[in-house]
Amino acid sequence: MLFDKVHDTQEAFRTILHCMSRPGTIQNIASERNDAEPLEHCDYALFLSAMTLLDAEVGFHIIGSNSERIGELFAAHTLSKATDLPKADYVFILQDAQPQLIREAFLQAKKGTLRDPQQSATIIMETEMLSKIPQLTLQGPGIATTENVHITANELWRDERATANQEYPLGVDMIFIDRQSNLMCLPRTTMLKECEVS
Amino acid sequence: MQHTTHFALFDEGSKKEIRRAILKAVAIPGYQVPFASREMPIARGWGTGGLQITLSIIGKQDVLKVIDQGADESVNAVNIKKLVNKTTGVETTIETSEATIIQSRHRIPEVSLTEKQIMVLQVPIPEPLRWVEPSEFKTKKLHAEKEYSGAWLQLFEQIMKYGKTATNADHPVLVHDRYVMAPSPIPRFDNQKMHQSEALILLGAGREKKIYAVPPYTDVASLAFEDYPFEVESFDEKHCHHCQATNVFMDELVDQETGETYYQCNDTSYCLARLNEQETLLEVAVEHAR
Repeated sequence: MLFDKVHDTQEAFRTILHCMSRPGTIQNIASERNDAEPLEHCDYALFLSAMTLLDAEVGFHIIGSNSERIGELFAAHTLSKATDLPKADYVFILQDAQPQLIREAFLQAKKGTLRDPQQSATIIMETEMLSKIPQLTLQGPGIATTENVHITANELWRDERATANQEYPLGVDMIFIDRQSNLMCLPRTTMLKECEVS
Repeated sequence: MQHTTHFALFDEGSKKEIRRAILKAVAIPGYQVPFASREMPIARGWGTGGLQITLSIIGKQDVLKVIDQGADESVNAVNIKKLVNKTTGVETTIETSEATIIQSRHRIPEVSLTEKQIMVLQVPIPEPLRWVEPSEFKTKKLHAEKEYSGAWLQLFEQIMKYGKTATNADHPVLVHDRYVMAPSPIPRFDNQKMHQSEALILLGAGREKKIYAVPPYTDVASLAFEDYPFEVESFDEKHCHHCQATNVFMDELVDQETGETYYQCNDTSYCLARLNEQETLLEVAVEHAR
């Protein structure tokens, strides 16, 4: 696998920054890297986002069947350590995560304190597909009027996110990554509701 | 043996830490995220906060513009541009519309920013409550409790003393109806450009070790009372003596010989672009006349 630690992570960061400041915007995180050899245990996009965000100063937690192997991969490349859920700065929820564990993730993830709301977890969630087909309507900072998106995944996260984010500025920020390496972000400020049927 | 600096000067660990702080800042609009400000090859107070953000976000494809008090060619702006160019090889420009990253001190350009641009502002004092509360421990608590009486009282005192709010620059704003924020020492004229801005605005304070942000399309309201509404600097009936522009932020100058007061655009690249445009129109007109 060819991977440029300096420029690939810079580009990935700018994609994440663009999407985090414009919730509902979907951009490809690994578009230039279609030639990247597949990793054994995880998608390249997930790997790239971990390379971009993790280092020895932060801890991560992975939920999913292959969590141990992926954890070793992340740790080997970033020197970041796998930690317990309540201490993790970055929580990765893989596509095959059990519903009960997804619930736990939102329940236990750090929400920050009123003094230090930035000491909260970012949840990176693998999904089947992200698209602009109207399913959810988003509103909040970064969105001119409203944005419509469709997130194909276990819908459990929506209620759990709402509970985790009920006391702004406390809460969790989310990054979604789909099978085609598309990325979308939901910072804690974004309000979600079901699209009205027209 | 030839030694070259690492891309964008910083080691990758420093960039990551600053990038993580930036993402949190975007997620909590107006909240000052602490970060481990690095030693820079320029002195603190000369834009190290802005420079650290610029170096952490910049990539090979970017085009950089740096302005200092509206000018592209002042010492500070030129040196920052040179430093970034030498360590990254990215192009620099004075044309606002061509830039993807605009680092600035004290101004937001006259030309409207777009969705593809990131505005990076250098901040000397990021804490809007610092003038009323010297303790960082206490101001953090005040922000936590959304207790902003101090900021209001400061404006009230100015009204009592001068009959109006007397903030020259850095007039405090309320972001997303939650955090009171120092917009950096931009004139009040520029405060309104932050409201529902199309571009992402990142603010960095190197000495005070804080990064904060205003995401695009976010409500930014300048603090004001109902009976003393927010007012921007007025340039009514004034125009730039170079390009004749009106309704822009202008510098007041005095002719040493006649003692006469005259005005000129503070945004030098805007003024230059207008002059060039007028020149071209004139040439076309002359061509037609022939």
